[in-house]
Amino acid sequence: MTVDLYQTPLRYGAVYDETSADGVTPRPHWAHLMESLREIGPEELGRRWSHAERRIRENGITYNIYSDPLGVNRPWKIDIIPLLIPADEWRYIEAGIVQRAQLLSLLLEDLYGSQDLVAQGHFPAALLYANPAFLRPLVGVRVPAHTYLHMLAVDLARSPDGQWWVLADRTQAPSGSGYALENRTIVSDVLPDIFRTSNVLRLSHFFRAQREVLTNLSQRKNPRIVLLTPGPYNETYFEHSYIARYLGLTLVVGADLTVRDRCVYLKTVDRLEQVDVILRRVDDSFCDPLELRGDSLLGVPGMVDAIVAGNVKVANALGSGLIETAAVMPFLPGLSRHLLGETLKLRSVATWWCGQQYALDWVLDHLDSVVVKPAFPSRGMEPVFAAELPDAERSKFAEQLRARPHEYVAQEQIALSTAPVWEDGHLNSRSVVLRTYVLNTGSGWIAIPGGLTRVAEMEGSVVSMQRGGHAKDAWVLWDSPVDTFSMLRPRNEPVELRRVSRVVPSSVADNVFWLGRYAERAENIARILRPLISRVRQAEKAELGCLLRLHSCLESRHSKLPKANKMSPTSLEFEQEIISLMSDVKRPDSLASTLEEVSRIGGSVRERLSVDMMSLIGQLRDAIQIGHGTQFLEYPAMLTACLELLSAFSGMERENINRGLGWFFMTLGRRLERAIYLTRQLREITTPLVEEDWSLLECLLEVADSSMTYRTRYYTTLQPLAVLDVLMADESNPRSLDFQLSHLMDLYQKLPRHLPDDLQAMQEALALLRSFDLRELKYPLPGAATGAHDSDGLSRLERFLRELERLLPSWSNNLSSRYFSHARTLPITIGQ
Amino acid sequence: MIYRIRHRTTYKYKYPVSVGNHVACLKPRSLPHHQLTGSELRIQPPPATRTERVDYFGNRLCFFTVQEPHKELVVEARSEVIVETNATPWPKQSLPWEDAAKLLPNDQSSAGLEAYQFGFESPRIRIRPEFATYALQSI
Repeated sequence: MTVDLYQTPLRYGAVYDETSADGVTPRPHWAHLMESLREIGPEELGRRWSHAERRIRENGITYNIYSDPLGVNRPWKIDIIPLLIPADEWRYIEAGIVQRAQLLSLLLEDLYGSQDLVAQGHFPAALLYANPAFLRPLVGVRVPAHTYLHMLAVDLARSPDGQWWVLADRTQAPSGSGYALENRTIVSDVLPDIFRTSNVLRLSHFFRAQREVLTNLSQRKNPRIVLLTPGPYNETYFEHSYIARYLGLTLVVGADLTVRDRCVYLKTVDRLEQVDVILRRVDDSFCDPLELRGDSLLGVPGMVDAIVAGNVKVANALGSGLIETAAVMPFLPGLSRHLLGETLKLRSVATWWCGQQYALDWVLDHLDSVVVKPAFPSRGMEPVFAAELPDAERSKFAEQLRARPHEYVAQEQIALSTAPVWEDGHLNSRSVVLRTYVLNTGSGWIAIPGGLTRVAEMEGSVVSMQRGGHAKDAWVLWDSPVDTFSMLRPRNEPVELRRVSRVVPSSVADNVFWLGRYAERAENIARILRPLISRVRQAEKAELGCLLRLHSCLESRHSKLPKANKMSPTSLEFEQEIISLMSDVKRPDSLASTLEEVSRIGGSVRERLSVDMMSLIGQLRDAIQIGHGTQFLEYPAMLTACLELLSAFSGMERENINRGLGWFFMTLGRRLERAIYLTRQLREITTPLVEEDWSLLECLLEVADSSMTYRTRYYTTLQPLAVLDVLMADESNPRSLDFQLSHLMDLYQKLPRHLPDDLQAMQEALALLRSFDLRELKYPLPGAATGAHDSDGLSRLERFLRELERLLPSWSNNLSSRYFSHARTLPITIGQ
Repeated sequence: MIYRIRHRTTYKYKYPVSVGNHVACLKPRSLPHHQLTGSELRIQPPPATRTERVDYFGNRLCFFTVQEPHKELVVEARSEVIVETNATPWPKQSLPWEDAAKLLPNDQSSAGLEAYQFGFESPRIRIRPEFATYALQSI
């Protein structure tokens, strides 16, 4: 009766089938599910499956596989058929993993403490000393009793005889519990009736306990707890943000934290807030570049010292990766008898650590029947199946083993049990591994009932999330009533109304500030490129000079113009430079690269942007596509389309974003960037224009989108001072310099703990700008004889703009120092 | 013999560094055959905080944080050490290296373990065949 749902014929005897002993009758605990699935039928299951898929996409579940070209946004595959575990079997597994957690916790306590186990010969000294995961700075550091392991993950597999075996222990930053939680919400939603009638043990109890345990790790009343993630490019980032939200923790990356005076602080826009507990998903050695791995960009310099001083608690304790190696496994039965006085309940798969002479000899004799792995995983080495190697390589490999035996560990391979997965309208049989989780409550250990079931991509292949695969839920079918408490807020429960969203971490402010700057920069580059591209082909030699001056407003550091005749390139060279500026992703100052930056930064703050804004960012990334077949004629339209997207983006920024601190920083970035570009353009006018360059005025008006304003006032007469008035002094023109400075001042006044010196400098700059009376100014007109005295006012204006050009970036730096990196700012005032 | 040691490092940065956490391992140790009689550490710009800690190996580390923007950091250590002239062990009074290499892996006394751990690779330096070749020539 179960067979009709299967697409592939089942093979019996070679592996353990979770659902059935003979391929016909389901095992008793599967009968209800199989019968219900049959009643629902393939069509309806297919419908529900696509519903689940949509929901996964919407939730943005991602599992980034490093080598996947689709990278960050590839949806992770979930299977809707849960793995079922009967109550008695779960009791057996639970007792086994809890005992294992107790044992490993005591082992860590000894190795980072008295090291009696080494002196008494229960644990080989070489396995400790040669292990790069043994973090010497953490030896002897006081850790609250038995809390080296906050959580332990144990990977289990079932052999053909039905026995469960431990494949691996994850001791430093076990991942996947969040996926288990997400799986549960989705599967119980897709199969609500079956879930309700199956009496499944709930997960929420575990996570409620975890929140409590983390709070208790600190002695303070309302401790600040953060979840430290390696960031959006990590393969389990989605899980980090999911767990952080579920447990109510602040999600941070290393750069969000800073160590001052032996304490860890969270950098927020308002202030530095002390961090009491860090739940970390960053591997041991990456946590502190100062004392551990110097090349790590994921950690917090000084974290180890803060731990040593007892000012912050980290879960799992730093250094716990020491025993995250299969090399420890052969010693666990003995350690269990010695430390716990018990025999080890769950056995590990047969493992040989080659650092022991007899183990090495055995492995060399049986090289074809084992898989060889690194004893120290941080050294990075793929598992070796010696049987698959050609003879020459095989003997070379044996040589390597003999040369550094303590670096290798060999394991027996288990034929994994199989469970059904739903694929293309059928059930298929796939190998599974169960990842279980145990939490240290301080007074005992509790397990997630079930865990995360990982499924091999193909039949019989190695199961690993990193290799690409599915995940499925695991249901523990309990034999007495279950507690149905859920931590997800029920829809009918009122929420407390809040107006101000919680803390804005500095990194978020930093990112949105640069999102504003880059979006504005892209717009300025595109605006300058547009007149260049439409004029360059028709330009006479004389007009080329004017276009060159416009080009110089970009201050391109990566110009492709030949060095020798930078000032007078041929029109072909200039045309190539413009195309490169538009589309060359290899030069950082091109429009294409700038748009890429916009999309990169946008991605890193995607939680703060609306779906529509993210979709615009996606379109912007692809806005400039120039291939071999692209005609020059198509470029202006492409630029216009790109400018339209950028306008839509800034429109959303103005109309759809809440005026919180995030918006302030985005707008600050925009204003500063626009002011920088404007100042450069204005300086082109204050350097007296020769007659051939007169049309530059027209270009500049076009760049500033102010041609209409100008024409309604002055018709077609182009005069430098009139253009200056529109672009510099006109306070009603949103693209004038005056407008940028007064808007910046407004924003500065509303910042928390604002920068008084910079605000004052800004006020002075604006006052100075307004003191220039353009009507009094004499502009040296081409052809007319002028005395030095006449252009005096103009050169004063020139000096002012030059000074402003120096000041604007320093204001940006000061914002960075004060709000993003929390350093002292140096006062900078405007010179006269 | 009295040694005065001056150790000065200047770091120059292309862009201003706003906050820097550092650790200096610049203080000589007092051991049976040499005595530290004086030491000082000068740091420019002056650090906002500065603490000392003894590390796993017994070295005295100085942790300091510079909290103002700077493009240059100067760390200068001055120390005075008295060294006994005849501190080198005589070959005849110590074990031949062949015996030491054989005995050490099985020596579980605390002195034995203390010595044994230095026989392994450090996280940064991998042992290479060239090292062995060089060492064998030097014997």
